[in-house]
Amino acid sequence: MTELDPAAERTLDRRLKAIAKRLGKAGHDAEDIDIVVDGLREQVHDMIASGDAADAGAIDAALDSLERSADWSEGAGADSGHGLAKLALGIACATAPAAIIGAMIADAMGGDGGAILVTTGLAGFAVALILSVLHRRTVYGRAAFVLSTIGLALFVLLLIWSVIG
Amino acid sequence: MDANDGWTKQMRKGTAELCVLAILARRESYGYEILQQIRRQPSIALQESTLYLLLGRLLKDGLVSARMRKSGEGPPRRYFELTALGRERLADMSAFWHGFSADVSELIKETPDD
Repeated sequence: MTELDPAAERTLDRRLKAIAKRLGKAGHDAEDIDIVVDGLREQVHDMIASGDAADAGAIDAALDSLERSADWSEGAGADSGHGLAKLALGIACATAPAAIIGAMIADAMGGDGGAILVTTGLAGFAVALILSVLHRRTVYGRAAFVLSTIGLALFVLLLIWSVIG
Repeated sequence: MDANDGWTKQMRKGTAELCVLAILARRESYGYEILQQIRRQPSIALQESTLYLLLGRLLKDGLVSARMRKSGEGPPRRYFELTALGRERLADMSAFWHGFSADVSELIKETPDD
């Protein structure tokens, strides 16, 4: 088996981690990222075995060349729902203040304005949750899912608390 | 326009799946090996980014299966193999390709030179 020296191994890990991060930002899921990272790792080891790369500098050069030729954002597996996942995150972020302020107003005064804001916030979280579930494979989708789930859970707790109180 | 951009890129991307399925129909293979086989045909010129992400999509679509196997030259390798669904897709794509390329070749042949 071809062994890398520790510096070369660290270089390879660092570069592959950076590529994985870029793929995540481009909307690829964990399975895609694993396949790319494993593939590139296999590739570097094959290059070392054939004498094309041996030390950290050579690995850097090899990955530089691979990255220059790569177009990760337009890969054949790129998730077409990336834009909608961003929209879900945007809706969840935008409606969170409305929901929180609305809850505060409704709790303090019990007025219609507060109730409308609460309803808007709840509807926003619900839409964000549906969109994020549909596009949960992307980073933005997962973030929207977490945010909207927390938002809805808080409202359910608030509702239970107000009914009990 | 650079030959690596624009229309050549689109044509290569359009045929990438057929090429990868055809290679895997011969025997199971791992990513870099597939890439090397494709690169023996210079006009296809598939990039790593396209190939590895395409393999991920084929896996999700059930057209290929994957398993890890020990390698004598580094970490375990992920070998890809065509599934029955993949062979079916390859047969459909091959049949379409033969008709398509024949029709396009016919059109090109009939186009008068300026």
